[in-house]
Amino acid sequence: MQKKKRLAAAAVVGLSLALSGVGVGVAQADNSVTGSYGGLTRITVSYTSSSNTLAVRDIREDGYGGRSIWSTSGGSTGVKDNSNGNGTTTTTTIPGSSGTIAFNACVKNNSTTIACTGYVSSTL
Amino acid sequence: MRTRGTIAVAGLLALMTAGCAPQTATTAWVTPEVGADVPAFTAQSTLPFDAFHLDVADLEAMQSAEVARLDACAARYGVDAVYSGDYLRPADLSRSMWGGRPGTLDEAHAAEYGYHASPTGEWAPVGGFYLKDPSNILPPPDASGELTALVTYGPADGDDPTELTDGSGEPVPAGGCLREVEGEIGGALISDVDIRSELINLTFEHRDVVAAVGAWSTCMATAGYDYDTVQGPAESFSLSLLSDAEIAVALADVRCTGESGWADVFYAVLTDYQQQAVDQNPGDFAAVLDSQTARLEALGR
Repeated sequence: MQKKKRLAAAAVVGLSLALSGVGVGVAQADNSVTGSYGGLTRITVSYTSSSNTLAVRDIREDGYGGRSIWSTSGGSTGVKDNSNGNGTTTTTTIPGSSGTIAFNACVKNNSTTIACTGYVSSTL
Repeated sequence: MRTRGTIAVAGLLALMTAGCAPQTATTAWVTPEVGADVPAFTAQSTLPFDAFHLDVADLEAMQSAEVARLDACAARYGVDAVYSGDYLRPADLSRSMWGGRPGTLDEAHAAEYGYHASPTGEWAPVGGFYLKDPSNILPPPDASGELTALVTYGPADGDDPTELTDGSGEPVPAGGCLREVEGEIGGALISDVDIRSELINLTFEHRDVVAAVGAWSTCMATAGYDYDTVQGPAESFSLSLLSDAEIAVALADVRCTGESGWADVFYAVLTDYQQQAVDQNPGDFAAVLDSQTARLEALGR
């Protein structure tokens, strides 16, 4: 087995530094999750700590929309949808400047949700 | 009496092999008429499509066997991925939601668990109309997600296919472990999730359902909670940990559901639409069940 590079290493290192308090400057704790259905990836949701934004991106022309459900350790919760079509991104600002956020990625068809990932966490 | 309408829905059933486009068909629907005596819909009630699915225990066994193969495939490439499925109960249910049919939540559950799953009851990853499907197998949403995506789905445009190799130096093939395991099992699942979804959406457009949901919304507003959709409360508490505020909303929801009768009207209309679908395409729905049965047998070999 060979691994030529670790694509997500930056996110892992950033989270480790933030948790240990060793980081220099603004702690980076970005994370993302990809939602799929029928064996195809369709939605990506990413959290960017520097701007406190959660972004829901539709990555496939398939008629489905995307959704992320999120909650913070401070007690805020929310739902962010993207029903604008392939290639579009919707964003929302997450309240709070400390603690953590948990979020997932779902594939939506109007009133119904047809696939959801588990949740991932990031530091705010 | 029913009114013949002009509503058409495209996309009945989907062949759930990675990369395959859904098969499509167009069906004209007769708008159901809801009489004065709407039958009560309870947690024990069934819908016409239920007859074309294996029971939950069989679907759990099917996904468990498939996930074991996927875990082993990913491990060959050095990726420690534990896959999940719609019928595989998470070890930690603290962020999982009650998985019964919306509108059938009872007061006892609401008082103790709100919209969240009980330790032994039905569960779903989010609240509202979450449509479980045996073809829904997901990689873990972990921090090394890009490697997991590569081994799961195979190289995407721009990926280096040799980024991950097995012990023989072979790179992850096109389609990744999902396609490899599908090939081992043989016989793709046929999914009815698209038609289930479309008919729920269609049902929410029915005038009697619109009126009943409006009555529910008014009742909730009187209780101090503003929601336009019946799935809104359970969706909004998804991913949260259980709280007193959630229990209060859930109890008001149970009361308003009973007073408005929205669930009875909704499922009466949905039952009619599902029966129309079965009557028009009985062979298609039999194929859904046949594909699940064949897959379960293949995985047991």
